[in-house]
Amino acid sequence: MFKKIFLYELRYWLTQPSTYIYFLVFFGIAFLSFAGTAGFFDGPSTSTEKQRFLNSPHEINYMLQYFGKFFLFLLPAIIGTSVFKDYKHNVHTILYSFPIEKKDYLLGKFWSALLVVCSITLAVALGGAIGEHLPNLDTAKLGAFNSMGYLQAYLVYVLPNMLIYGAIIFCLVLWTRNSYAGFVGVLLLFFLQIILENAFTGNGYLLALFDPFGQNTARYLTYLWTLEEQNTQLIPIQGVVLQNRLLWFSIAAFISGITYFKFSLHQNSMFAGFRKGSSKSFAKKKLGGSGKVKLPEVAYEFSFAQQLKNAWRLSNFHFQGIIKNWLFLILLIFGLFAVLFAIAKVTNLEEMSLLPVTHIVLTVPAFFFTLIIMLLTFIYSGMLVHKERSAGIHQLVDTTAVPNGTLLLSKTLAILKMQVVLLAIMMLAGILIQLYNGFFQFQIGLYLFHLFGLVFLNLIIWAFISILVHSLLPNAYIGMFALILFWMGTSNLGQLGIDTRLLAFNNVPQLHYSDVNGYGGNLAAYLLIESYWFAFACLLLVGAYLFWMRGMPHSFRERLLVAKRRVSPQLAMLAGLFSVAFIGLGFVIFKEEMKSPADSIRKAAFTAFEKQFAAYTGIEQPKITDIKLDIDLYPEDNRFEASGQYLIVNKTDKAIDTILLKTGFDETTSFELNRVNHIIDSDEYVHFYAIQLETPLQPNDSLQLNFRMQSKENTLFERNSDILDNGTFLRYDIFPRLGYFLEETTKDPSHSGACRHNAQGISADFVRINTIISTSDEQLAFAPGHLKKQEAKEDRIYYHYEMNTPVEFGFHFNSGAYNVKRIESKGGQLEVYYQEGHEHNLDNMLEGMKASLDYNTQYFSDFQHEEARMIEFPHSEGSLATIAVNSISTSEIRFIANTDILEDKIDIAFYVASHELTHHWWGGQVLPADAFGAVMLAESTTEYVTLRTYERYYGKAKALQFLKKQRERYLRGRSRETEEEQPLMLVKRPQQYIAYGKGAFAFNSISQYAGEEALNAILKDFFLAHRMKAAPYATSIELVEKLKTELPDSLTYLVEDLFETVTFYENAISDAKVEPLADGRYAIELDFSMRKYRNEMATENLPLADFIEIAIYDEAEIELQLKRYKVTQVENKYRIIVDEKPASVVLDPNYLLLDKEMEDNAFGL
Amino acid sequence: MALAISNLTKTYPNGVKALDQLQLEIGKGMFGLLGPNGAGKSSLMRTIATLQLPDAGSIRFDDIDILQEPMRLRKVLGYLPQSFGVYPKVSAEKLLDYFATLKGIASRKDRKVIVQKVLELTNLYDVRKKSVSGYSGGMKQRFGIAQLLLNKPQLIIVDEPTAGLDPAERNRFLNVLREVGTENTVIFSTHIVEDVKDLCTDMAIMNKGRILQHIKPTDATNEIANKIWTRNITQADLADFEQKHKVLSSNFNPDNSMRIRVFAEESPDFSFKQVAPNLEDVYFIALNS
Repeated sequence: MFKKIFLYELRYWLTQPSTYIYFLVFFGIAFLSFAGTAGFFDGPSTSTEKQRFLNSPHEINYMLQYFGKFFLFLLPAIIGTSVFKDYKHNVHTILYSFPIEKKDYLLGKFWSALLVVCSITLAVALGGAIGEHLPNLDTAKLGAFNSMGYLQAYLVYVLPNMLIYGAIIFCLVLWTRNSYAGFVGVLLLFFLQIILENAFTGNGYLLALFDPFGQNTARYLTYLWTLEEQNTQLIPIQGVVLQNRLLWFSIAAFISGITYFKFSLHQNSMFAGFRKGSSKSFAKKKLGGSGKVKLPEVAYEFSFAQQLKNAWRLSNFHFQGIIKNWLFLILLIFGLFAVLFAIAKVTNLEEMSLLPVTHIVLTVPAFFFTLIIMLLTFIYSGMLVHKERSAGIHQLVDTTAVPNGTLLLSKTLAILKMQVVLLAIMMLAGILIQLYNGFFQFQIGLYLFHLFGLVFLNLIIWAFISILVHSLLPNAYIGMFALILFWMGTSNLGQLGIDTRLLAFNNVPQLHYSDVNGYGGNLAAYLLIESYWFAFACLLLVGAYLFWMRGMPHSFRERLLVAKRRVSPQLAMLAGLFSVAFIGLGFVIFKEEMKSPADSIRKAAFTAFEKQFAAYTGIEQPKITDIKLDIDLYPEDNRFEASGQYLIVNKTDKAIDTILLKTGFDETTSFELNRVNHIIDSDEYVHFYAIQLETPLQPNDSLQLNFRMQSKENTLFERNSDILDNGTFLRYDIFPRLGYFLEETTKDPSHSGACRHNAQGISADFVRINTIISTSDEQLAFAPGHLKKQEAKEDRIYYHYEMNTPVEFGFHFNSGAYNVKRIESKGGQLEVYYQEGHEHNLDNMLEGMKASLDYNTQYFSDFQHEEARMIEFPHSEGSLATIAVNSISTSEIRFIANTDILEDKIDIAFYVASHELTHHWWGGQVLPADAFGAVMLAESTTEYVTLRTYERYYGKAKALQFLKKQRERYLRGRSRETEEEQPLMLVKRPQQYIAYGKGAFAFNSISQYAGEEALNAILKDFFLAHRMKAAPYATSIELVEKLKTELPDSLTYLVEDLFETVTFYENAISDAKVEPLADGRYAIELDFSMRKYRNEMATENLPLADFIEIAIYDEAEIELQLKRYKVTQVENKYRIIVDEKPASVVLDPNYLLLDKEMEDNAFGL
Repeated sequence: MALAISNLTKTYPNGVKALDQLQLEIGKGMFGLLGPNGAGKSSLMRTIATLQLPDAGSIRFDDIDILQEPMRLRKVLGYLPQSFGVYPKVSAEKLLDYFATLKGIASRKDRKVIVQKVLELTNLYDVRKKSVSGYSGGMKQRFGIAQLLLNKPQLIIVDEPTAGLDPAERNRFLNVLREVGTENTVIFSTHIVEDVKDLCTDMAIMNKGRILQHIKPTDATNEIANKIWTRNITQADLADFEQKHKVLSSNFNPDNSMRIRVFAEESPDFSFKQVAPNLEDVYFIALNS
C-alpha cells in the first residue's frame, strides 16, 4: 500500500506543470545569477586583486544557504499541499473510509512530496555547475570545479533542512488542515533564526548550535578564514555541525512522532472541539402552512458611495478572518520578539552601542521586516482571493448583486489593514525598546511618516500585484510561489546588467534619515519611483478587476470574454489615467537617469583618460604653497560658488614647463594662470588639463593660479553637489590639484623615490591658507584655522578664517545650524558643534579631545592652533570622523552612540575625539611619505596614543577591552583580506585592520614590555625629526629601525614579529594543579606550551626567547600575582607559589601576544 | 414575471454538450425541472444564475437580459446551489449579516431586522449563534434559503436541494420553500419526482441538454390516464418484458419478485392490471421517448 500511495502521489506531482516551473525558475535564477556574478555579462575584469572564487565550497555553501531560504517555501507548496489537497477536494471523507493504513498514507505522501522537493532543489546545483563551465567568464573569480562543495552543502545542509522542516510543515498542515499554515510556519522559522541570531550575539557557539538552518553553524567555523582558505578549503563537518543537525532532526522527529500517534484517518480535524452541538435537535416552530411570506421592508442601496462603504465593511470581515486566527497571533508575537531583538541589535553594534534614536530604530524595518510583511502579503492575499472558492461559498456570493469592484476592494483593503497592523507592531516594538532604555525622545511624527507613509507605500504596491497574480492563477500556492520568484528575479536584475529603475519593480533607493538633514535628496527619488510603481500597481489592480473570478468560467477563453465585457468607459478612463501617470512618471525617471551617464560610459571615459594621459605619469610638478579661498554656500539651493588663488612654487632644481591640473569632478571650474600658457591636452570628462607654459617655471620661481567654480545641479538620483540643506560637509577634493593623479605612486618605503611626496598627495607639502566662507544666516560656516572675523551682509554671514602656521594639504568646510559646547584647556579651546538633541556625548567628546591634548603635549609637542573643534555631519555622509587641520568632522552616528552602558563596548565618542585630535601630531605635523607603511605612521601611532588616553581616563580594565577589540578587528579583518596580508611595516592604505587593529596591538605590546616612557621617548625622537618637514618624508622603515636600535636587544624580537613579519603564537595550558603547602601558601604546577610561527610557514616553530605574562587569580577573580617569564622552549613546566588560594591561571592576560585562540590560555584550578 | 430561455447552447471544453438549443418559458409559481443526473440541469441553472456564460442563446427575466445585464438580475435573484460551503467558524447570524451587506442592505438596523426574520422563517433562530460549518445537512440547506431571501428575490433557483436530506428534513425544507415560492418564480431542479409532485405547479423534463416535455403535473398524469399497467414478474424475465413492452420502471417486491410498470394504449396482456398514472410514469415516458 505504501508503494501504491507513494507512486500515486509521485505521478500526481510529475503531471503538475508547477513542478517543472519551480525547477526551471530555480535553475534559471541560479544559472543567471552565477553567470552574472562571474562576469559573463561584463567580460573579464582588469583587476589584479586576488578574487573570491565563486565556486569554492565556501561560496557554494553560501549560495545554497541563500537559495535554501527560498527552498523552504517549496515545503508548504508541495509537502503541505500533498496533505491539504485531500481536504480541499473533500477526498478525505471518501479516502478515509478505505482500508488504508495510517502509516502508508502518511509516509507515502510525505516521502513522495519530499522527493519532489529535493529534486527541485537540485536545480540550483545544476544551474551553478553549468554556470561554472560557461565560456567567457572572469577566470580570476573561479577555482577548479569541486563537486565536493555541492555534495557537502546538499548532504549537510540543504537536504537535511528539507527533511527536518518538511516533516514539521507536514505535521503543521495535518494538524491545522490549513495550507497557509505551512507558509506561515516558514516565516516563523525565519523569525526564530532572527531571534536566535540576536539573542546569542557574541556567543557564536550557541548560535551555531541552535541555528535552525545551520547557516550560522557554517559561519561559526569559517568566520576567521582568510580568503585563501575560503577559496580552497572544505567547510569542516565536525562537532557543532553534527550537534546542530542532530538537535533539529530530533525536534522534527519528536513533532512527527506525536503527530503520527495522534493522527487518525478521521473526517474531522484534530481540533474537533468547535463542532460541538451539531447533532442537537432544535425546537421547531410551526410554519403557517401555505401562507405568504412577509419580509420586513428594508432599503436596498447600490449607489457608488454605498459600494465604497460596503467594501470597507466587508474588508473588516476579511480582516478579522486574518487576525482572529491563532496562527496569525503566534506570528505577531514571534514578529514582535524578532523586531525587539533586531532593534536591540541595531542599537548594539560590534564595537559600540547606539542610543535608540527613532531613526536608528527605524532602520530595522528597512532591512528585514518589510520583507516579512511582503511575504505575508503574498500569502494572505492568496488566501483572501481564493477564500470563497476554497470555502465553497463562491456560488452564493457570486450571485449576489455585489459588484466585482466592491469584492476586489474589500480584499485589497483587508490586506492593507493587515499591513498596517504589522507596521504598528514595529512601531510599538520601537517605542518599547526606547522605553526600556529610558530613552524618551520619541519622534512619533517620524515613526508615522516613515512606517505609514514610506514603507506602507512600498507594501501597497506589493499588495496590488499580489491581488492580480492570485486573481489570474488558479490556486494560491502557485500564486505565492510565482510572487516570491518574481520578487527574487526583479531584485537580481542588476546582475544581468539591467540598471534602469524603470524595470526594477518596486525597487526603492535606500533612505538614510538623519536628525541633521532629514531624508536628504533621496526622499524625492523615493517618492518619484514609488509614484511610478504605484501608478503601475493601480493598472495591475484594474487588471485584477477585469479578471476577477466571478461565477464558474470553464476556460481561460471564457475569462477573457468576461474581462472584455467588463471594460466600461469609466474603467477605460481610469486605466488611461493610470497609464498616463505611469508613462509620465516613467518619462521623468528616464530623463533624470539620462542626466547621469551610465556606468559603462563612465568606465569607458576613465579608461580612455588613463590611456591618453598615462604619458604624464611622474612628470615633476611645482607645489602649492599659499591658498586663498572665497566660498559662498547656499544651503537652501544645495549649491555653492567659490573662487580662489594658489601660489605655486617650483621646489625642484629643474625648470618646469608643463603644469598638470585636475579640477573638481562634479563642479564647473574655470581657471587662469598669471603666465602665458596654452592647454595642450585636456579631458573634458575627467576635468584634467595639461598646460604648457611659454616660459618654463624656474627653480624657486612661482606662479599664480586663479580659479572660479560652482557646483553642478543635483539630479533626482545623483548628487552632484555636496551642499546639503543642513550639515554640509565639503571636502577639499573639489578644488584644483596638481599632477597626474591616477599614477600608482605608492611605493615600497625602501624605494629611492618614496620620500619625495607625502601621503596627502603630490599637490603640496605644507601650505598657508586663508578662507572667507559665507552661508545663510541661519547656519554657521567653518573652514580650517582660527575665526578672525565674522560679518553679516543682508541675509548671509561671512566668516574669515586664518591660519598662523603652515598646515598639511587637506581641508574640510562645514555649514549647519549648530549648537556649541566649549571648554578651555591648557593647550587651547575645545569646541563641539552639534545638532540640537544630540547632547548625549558632548562631554565624552570634549574629555576625549582634552585627554589627547594633554597626552600629546606632554610627550610630543605643543598644539599649533588656538582651538580644536568637532563638527557634526549627517549620517547620510558616512559614519566616519576625520580631522583636517583643527576641524574634526564627525558623523552624527558618533553623537548618538550610547556611552552610558559600556560593558564590553568602548566609549566611541571619547575614542573618536581623542583619536582624531591625536592626528594633529601623527599625520598632521608628521606627514608620512607616500609609501607602504604610511598608515602605520599615521594610524597605528594614533591608535596607540588613543589607547593610552583611554587608559588614563577609564582605567586599565576598560583599556583592555579596547585592546581586545583591536585584536578582534585585526583577526576578523585578515579573514576578509583579498590580497596577501602585509606586515605592519608595509601596510597598505585600505588595510585598516592592520593599521588600526594590529598597529595598536603592536605598539601596546612594546610599551608594556619596554615601558610606556621608553617607547614614547623613541616616538618623540622620531616625531621631532620629522615635524613640519617636507621631503624627504618619514617612512615606516625609519621608525622600525629606530625601535630596533633603541629597544633593549632582548626585546627586538618583538619589532621583528609585530612590525616586520606576520607572526602568531599558539599558547595553551595543558594542565595545572594546585597543592596547599605546609606554610599556608599554595603551589601551582603549570604545564603549558608556547609556539611561535610565521603566517606563511604555519607548521614551522620559530626559536623562542620570548616573554610571557602569567597571572594567577583567586575565587573572586582578583589578581594574586602577575609575573613575566622568559620562555625558550615549546613545552614548559612551571611551579608557581602564591600566598592565597588560587582559582585560575591565565597566560598572557593583558593580550600582549598575538594568539588566535585565547580560550585555551585560561585554566580553572 | 416570466423567464424566457431561447436557443441556449453550451459545450464544455471537454466536449460535453450540456445545453443544446434549449427553449423554455417559465411563469410565476413553482417550476420543477426534472431530469437524470447529467441532464444539464445544473448547467442551465448556473447559466440562469449568471454564474456561467452560454455559447449561444438568450435568457430574459421580465425586461432583464440576463446575459447582458447580470447585475440587474442578481438584485432579484435568489440562488441555492446543489452544494455549497461556508467560511469556517462564522455564525449564521454573522454570515447572514455579511450576505445582507453583499445584497445591498445599507443600514445596520435593516440588516438586523431582516436577518432575524429570515432566521425565524427558516427555523434557525435558536441556532443563530452557532457556526454554520457545524450545521447538519438540512439546517445548512435552510440556511441556504435564509440567505437567498435577504434580497426579496423574484426569481429563485434551487438546484437539487433535497438530495441527501432525511425525510423529516426534506419536508421541513419543502415547507419553507413553498412559503416563499407562491409569489415568485421558483425554479426547482431535482431528480426526485416526489418533490415535484408535492410542490410544483409547472414542470419540465430535461435530458441531454434539451427539454423533453413541458407540462403541468396534473395535466401530465391526466394525459396518460388508463395507459399504465402493472404486473409481477421474476427478475429473470425482466429483459424479456423490456423487449416486448415499454417498461417504465421496475421494483423489487419483498419476496424478490419484481413489479413492473408498463406504458401501453391498450392492456398489453390479461396479466397486467391497470393502475393510476403518477408523475414518475410521465418522467420515464418522457425519458424513454
